[in-house]
Amino acid sequence: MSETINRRILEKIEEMECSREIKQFLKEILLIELRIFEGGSIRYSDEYSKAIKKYAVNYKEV
Amino acid sequence: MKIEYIKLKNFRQYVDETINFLSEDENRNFIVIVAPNGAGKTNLVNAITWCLYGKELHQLKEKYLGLPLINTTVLKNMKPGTTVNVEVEMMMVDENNGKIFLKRTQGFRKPEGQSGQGKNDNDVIPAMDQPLTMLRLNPGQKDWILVQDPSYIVNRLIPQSIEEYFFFDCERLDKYFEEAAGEIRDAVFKISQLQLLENAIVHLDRKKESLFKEELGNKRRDAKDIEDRVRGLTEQLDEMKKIKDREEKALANLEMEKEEAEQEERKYSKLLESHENINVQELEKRRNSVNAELETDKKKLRELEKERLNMLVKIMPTMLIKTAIDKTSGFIAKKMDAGEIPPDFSEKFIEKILETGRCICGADISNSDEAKKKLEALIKGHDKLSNWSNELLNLYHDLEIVSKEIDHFKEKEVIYDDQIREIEERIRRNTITVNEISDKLDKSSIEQIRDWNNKLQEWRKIKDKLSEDIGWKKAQIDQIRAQISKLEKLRSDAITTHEKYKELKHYDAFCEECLRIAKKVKDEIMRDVKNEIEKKTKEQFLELIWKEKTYTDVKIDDNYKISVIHESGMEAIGTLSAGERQVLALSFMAALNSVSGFDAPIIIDTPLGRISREPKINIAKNLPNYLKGKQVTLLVTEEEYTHEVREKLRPSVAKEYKIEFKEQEVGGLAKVVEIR
Amino acid sequence: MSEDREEPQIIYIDRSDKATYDKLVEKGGPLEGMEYKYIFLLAMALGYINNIKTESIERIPGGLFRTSYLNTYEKAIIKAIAIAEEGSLDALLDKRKIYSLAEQYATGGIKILQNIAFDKFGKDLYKKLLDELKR
Repeated sequence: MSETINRRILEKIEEMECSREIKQFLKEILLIELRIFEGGSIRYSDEYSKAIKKYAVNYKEV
Repeated sequence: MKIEYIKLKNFRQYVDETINFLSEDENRNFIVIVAPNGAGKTNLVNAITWCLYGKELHQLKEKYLGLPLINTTVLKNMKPGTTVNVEVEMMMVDENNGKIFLKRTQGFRKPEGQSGQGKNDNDVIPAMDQPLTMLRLNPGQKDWILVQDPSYIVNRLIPQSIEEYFFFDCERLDKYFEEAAGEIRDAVFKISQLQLLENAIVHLDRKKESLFKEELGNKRRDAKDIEDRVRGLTEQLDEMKKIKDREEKALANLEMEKEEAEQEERKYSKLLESHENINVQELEKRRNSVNAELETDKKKLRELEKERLNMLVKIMPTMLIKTAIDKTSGFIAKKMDAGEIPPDFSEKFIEKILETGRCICGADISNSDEAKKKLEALIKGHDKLSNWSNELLNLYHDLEIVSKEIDHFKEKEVIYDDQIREIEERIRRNTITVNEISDKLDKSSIEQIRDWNNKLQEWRKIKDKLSEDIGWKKAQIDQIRAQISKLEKLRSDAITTHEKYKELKHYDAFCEECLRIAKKVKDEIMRDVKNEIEKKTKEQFLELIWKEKTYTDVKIDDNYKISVIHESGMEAIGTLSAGERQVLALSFMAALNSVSGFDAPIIIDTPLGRISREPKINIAKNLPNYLKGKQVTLLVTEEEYTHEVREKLRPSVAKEYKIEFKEQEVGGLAKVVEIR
Repeated sequence: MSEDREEPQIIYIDRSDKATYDKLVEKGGPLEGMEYKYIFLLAMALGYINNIKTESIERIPGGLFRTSYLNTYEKAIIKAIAIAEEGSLDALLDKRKIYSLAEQYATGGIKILQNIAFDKFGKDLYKKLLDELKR
């Protein structure tokens, strides 16, 4: 088992037809989920807020 | 991830055995351990699960049920009162040559006076604690790091909930088809880490829902509401500003008019002052002078009245509540008279005497119960208010001063009244003087003088009215300015909210799209994984099965329920023989492992147990292909590991071991011997 | 003493009274330029003497002024009201209650002050206040 995200998921995300920011965002929240799964005491709400603010700023709505 | 070696000490039939798994040749990824039934194959798998999870997860043979973990011979030979450890040690290595060392230990104590034949659990006391030690060596590093929480790491490497998909017992593979297929779907979900993606989707959805509430809270409104509010406030502001401009223009006009009126007034005054008639000159000069004095006096009067009013406003509360002040002072005075405040002593002082046992006079009271009782009674009877007598005394003092202020006010009031009266009197007199002069000039026999005087009076009236209007207008403008300021703040807040709202709408759209993509990723991966597993299972099954033409298809539905289609088109899974089911399960497991992306070593217990000759050879030939790149350990009986099977597997086998088992009175002893 | 009974940091009035306070002290107003605390104390005293208090106040956000603006004498008269009302020096134990009472009386009394100050007829404000004292 990898201690990072399963390559299949990362590759599938890359394949998706969507903006760069969405792909990077999805990868980042997966890492957050991995840390939570490992028992890290993380508040997902705060982490997600940070990630949304980081990537949404350059995202262009279709 | 591969196993480098396993060391077992005193674990069931394994007293001191080491099994090495690695070879230099990367293409040789199979390890074969041959043993008759009951020799210890399952216990070997259990040793691994015990090391990893602290539990033997695979079915114990009947003869071991009820026996403690510790080897029975070792137990029998233990002296009473001593402790012996059971240990299982594993070294794992990953694709980058990073290493993980694991060792679990459990102590077993033979109680005093216990002969303990090891026939049952009561002969020995296992330690409650069976700690797992884990050390890591990261790739390229020289130093081993102690892992603080080994259980977490273990569960990341090979989660306990899905270990049976990597350490599987072929004889129990039936359950994969009989029990809930949904469990397999869940396992696939976990193995491919889709659980993480699922969690991310749930969390993202929740986050999206709460975006507006979190940031805007109660101020949350529809975009339209906010826009309307901003627009409304802007309109109001513009309107107010227009009004302000209008009023300021009006004010400017009034001031201009007053300026004009003053000029006219001055003009006529100058004319009168410079009239050839000296009387008229003097009268006008006098009038001007008195008027100037009047203005000064009126201004002074207003100031004095304001000061007097302010003074009254400040002292009035005291005067109004005089009775309350007197009452309060009375309460405090009573306490002072009663000697309660300031207190003769402080409680702390008495407490200190009791603590030290020495009176203020130096006498030793530590042995005097009577003295102590008296002191304690003093503390009890002490009014708690006296403890803060300082506050009371200050209050008393302040109220005294406050009361004196009333007298001061009365004195000052007299002074103000006198001053005000004086000025009022002067104003009255000066007003009379001005009127008299105006009268005289009014009654002048010279028409020109009357005319000028009239005009002067008129202009003065106009000027005074205008002054009043100007004052009023200025106050109005100030009020409008205050309103504008308030509206500007409200609008600024509304705009900020609006901007915030727009930003949140953008985040919302972003999250919406991310959710859509995430769900698509999840669905496609599940579909891809399922299809691949289905394809590989079918390929492998049909390749391995000996009835080549009987079965034409293998299907796996979304819930991972497996179907095998007979050439007649009928569902055949219910009619598969035990051996055929085993082949199917093996094919499925191989497919699952190769597709999942999960990198764990695979251990298969009794893979060829119920399979006849031909398919056995087939499996031996093809299994290495199906599980390429994985470390596979086969635990086989001699009946399974025929010469033909051995030959077919040979190119892939790194090591071969034999378990030599010797029955004991209770339990047994197993030795692991390398054959190759 | 528990925190609950300590002197509060801010003095509050009812939010509906803020406009009156402003009208009194604004430019051209009858008490132009006076600090809020004086208006408050006067309103409080008028409320006390006329026995009008409003038990529950809808507090104005942010309050009217900080308690630290009151000097020791002004605090003394606030305390005197509470002690007289309770009839005992024990009233001093609960500082929060003392100021709460002051706020209640002020809320009652501001309306009296409003009537006096904005009544366009009759004498000037100074004389009207003196009359009030004589009553």
